[in-house]
Amino acid sequence: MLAGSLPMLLLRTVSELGKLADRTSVLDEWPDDERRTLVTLYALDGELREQGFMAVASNAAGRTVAERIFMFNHEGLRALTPPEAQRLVPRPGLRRRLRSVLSVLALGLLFVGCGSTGPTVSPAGGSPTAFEVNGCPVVAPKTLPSGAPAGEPVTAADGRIAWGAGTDLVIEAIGQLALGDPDTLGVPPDSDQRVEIRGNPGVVLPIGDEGVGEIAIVWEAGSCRYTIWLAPGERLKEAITYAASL
Amino acid sequence: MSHYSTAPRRGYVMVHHAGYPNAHLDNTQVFCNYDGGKSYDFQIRWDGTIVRCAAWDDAVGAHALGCNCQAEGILLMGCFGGCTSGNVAAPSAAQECSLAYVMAHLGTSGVSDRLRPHRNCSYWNPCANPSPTATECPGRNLTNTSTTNQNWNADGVAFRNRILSKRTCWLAHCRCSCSGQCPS
Repeated sequence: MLAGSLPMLLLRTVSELGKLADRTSVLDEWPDDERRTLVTLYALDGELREQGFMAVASNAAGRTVAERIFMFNHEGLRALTPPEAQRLVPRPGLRRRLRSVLSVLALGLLFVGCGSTGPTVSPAGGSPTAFEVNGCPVVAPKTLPSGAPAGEPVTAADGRIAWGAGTDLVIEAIGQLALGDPDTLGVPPDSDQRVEIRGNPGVVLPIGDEGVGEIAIVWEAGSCRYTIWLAPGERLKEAITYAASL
Repeated sequence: MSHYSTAPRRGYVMVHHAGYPNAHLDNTQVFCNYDGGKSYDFQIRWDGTIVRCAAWDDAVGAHALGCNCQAEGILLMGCFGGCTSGNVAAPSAAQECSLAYVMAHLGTSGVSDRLRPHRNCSYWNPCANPSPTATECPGRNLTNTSTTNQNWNADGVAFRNRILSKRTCWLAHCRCSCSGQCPS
């Protein structure tokens, strides 16, 4: 796994936030050469699991220099403010006690692709509720293929974002993690598999055969490339309809 | 040798992959049942087990629009590129051996263009289907993704050539386990 840039504006301080992370569940890890730290993403523990993750930067001595919690909401991914994060920390009994104040102002995140330099993930334009990968906004589906509300993303691993589960699963990749230029995938110009996704031309491409394998929806919006995969078993006609609804 | 010689579509063999994560680990699914109108003629599991489907001797297949009138459709369990996860680089040696076995028993010619990837079907379209399906199948690890060439890539050509070589072995009744050269 390779590193990208990690814009940290202020480093310090260890807090009880560490209790919220499941240190046995490392989602991703990369060195930040610029700041000479190791950035590790941990799953959150207990009932917070699947709701977000914790990013921890540690120095060469293994000492934590910064921590930040990121939680999913209906608009995407958001970094919690220090007070919000502190409220999540379990307190023993009725006694509340703060050991230190978290004062990290910002953390950039990297998701690593398949053996390539990872994209830079950051809050978009200063907004805490937007989410971008290499400057490309996440396209959150309104519904799942079943018609159920898409809700919040349930995973963000390997640089991909997912909604739903099982046969009603939608997985999105942005940038170099996607399948590539839709015009290179062999879909004829007049094919029903040519679709428009939010006004952008794209294609619907079975990875295997319909009803057996996954089906991909591939498009470009300006310089941003996207791929959405629908779960195995989806039919091509329904996938085409779903693509238009994104 | 050709005990599948009554197959009307044995002139060509079209290779499919399952196209879902970790499909190579799946030894339970059988895709022979015309589910949603689709059925392969043969299915080959990662360990080389051959599942012969009822469609193998039908006049028209149900595995690839545009090629169902001409080709036997053989499903290799695995995802050879393009899946969200659980991809494998290529079919297993056991799958290659079994694919070659099926080709030999169908009596399909050893000419190289008789073994085609599903991806090629929308370009080849021998059955003149007005809208053959464009697909990633059997995966970008074996096939080209380009505007003009939707056929075997270099790794796919190597795979095809190994199949044709092993087919020859089977025709010679070699018991070479398909992992190497036939004994002279």
